[in-house]
Amino acid sequence: MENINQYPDAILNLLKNKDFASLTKNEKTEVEAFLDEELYAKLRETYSQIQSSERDFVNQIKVRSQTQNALLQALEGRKKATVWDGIVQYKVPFWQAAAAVLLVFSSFLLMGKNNKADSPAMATITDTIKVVKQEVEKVLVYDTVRFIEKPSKTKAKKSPAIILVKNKQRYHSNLPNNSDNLSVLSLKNRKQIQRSGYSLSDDSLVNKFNFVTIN
Amino acid sequence: MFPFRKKLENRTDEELMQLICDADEQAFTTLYMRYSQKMLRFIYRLLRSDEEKAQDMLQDLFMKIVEHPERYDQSLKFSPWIYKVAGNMCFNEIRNTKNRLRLVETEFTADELIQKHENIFTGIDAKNFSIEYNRHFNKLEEEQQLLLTLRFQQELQIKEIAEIMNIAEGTVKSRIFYLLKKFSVLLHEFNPAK
Repeated sequence: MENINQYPDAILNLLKNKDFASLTKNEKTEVEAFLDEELYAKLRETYSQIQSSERDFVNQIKVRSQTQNALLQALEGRKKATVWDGIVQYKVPFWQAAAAVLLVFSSFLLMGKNNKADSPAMATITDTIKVVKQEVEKVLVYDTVRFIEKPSKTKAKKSPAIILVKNKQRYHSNLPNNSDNLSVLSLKNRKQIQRSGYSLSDDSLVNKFNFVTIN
Repeated sequence: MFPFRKKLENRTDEELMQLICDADEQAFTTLYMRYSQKMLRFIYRLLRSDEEKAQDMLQDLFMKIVEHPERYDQSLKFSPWIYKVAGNMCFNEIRNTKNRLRLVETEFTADELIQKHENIFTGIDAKNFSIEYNRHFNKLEEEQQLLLTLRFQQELQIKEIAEIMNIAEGTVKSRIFYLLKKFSVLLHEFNPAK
């Protein structure tokens, strides 16, 4: 059995189907190029028995009916998954996605514009806050000081303690409001208070300009 | 139904697979009817006559087609592709279990031995031939088992076998002849011609 690789496929088919005696002249010529009659017979017999054994071996076995049902159920499941996957995994072109986003935003804007006046929920509430300013007028306070000369029991000094000023009005805008606290001290009183220094009565300026001192 | 649509029975296996990618139930049923029985026998033979396991594996095989039809190699025809996948699944299963070792070490019972010796003189008993053949078959390498199953059980042509096993046609022929010669010597005493 040299150069088996070169055996034509036909020889294997002949071994399967025909014994040596049944071969045609041409077939015999072809077979005898590779095998003698004895070897052909041996191989043919073995071939036939192996084939018979193989067929008998599996003849009794049949496919279970449940197998097909299970497979069809699985296919049905995949069909549903395929449809859903197709929806989820669908790739939208960028320009379509951008156009959809713009459309949604513009629709929101338009809706907002149209419904502004009608919708009570969108009414604006205006609160007015009035601020009352209190203007403070600057009021000039006039204080009239009158001096009343009282006759004194003691001998009047030559230089009166109090210099009489008639109808002389003097005002001070910066005076504190508590003008009640104004007190006019006589020179006499001041002398008592003043411990040291010159007496006002002795002051030349006081004598000269008729100053009224107030404490 | 679209009047000019080609009948599913007339469609090729590859066209049916295209429809199965779209979860076409009728296309799947057609393909299943074509290959289920054939593949069950193929798997059963390679799994050393374990029927339960063979049935489960058949379901697993077609479940792969249902769940992942995109994995079908469109550069190959469907028939060689499904045989390749089924063969790989079977041999992976055998390697993962200890069945091969158990089967290789299987010896005949006493009754079988007596019957075996009696048949040397009386001619072949087909059952004994099958038993002996099966015993030798289980000792073969995976490629040789695949080759014998594809040629003698599935009755495929040399070209198809070469495509499934991814070997040259000449290699397929030489290996078949080698196995035939080996078994003719091993099983000579069981030869019915004698």
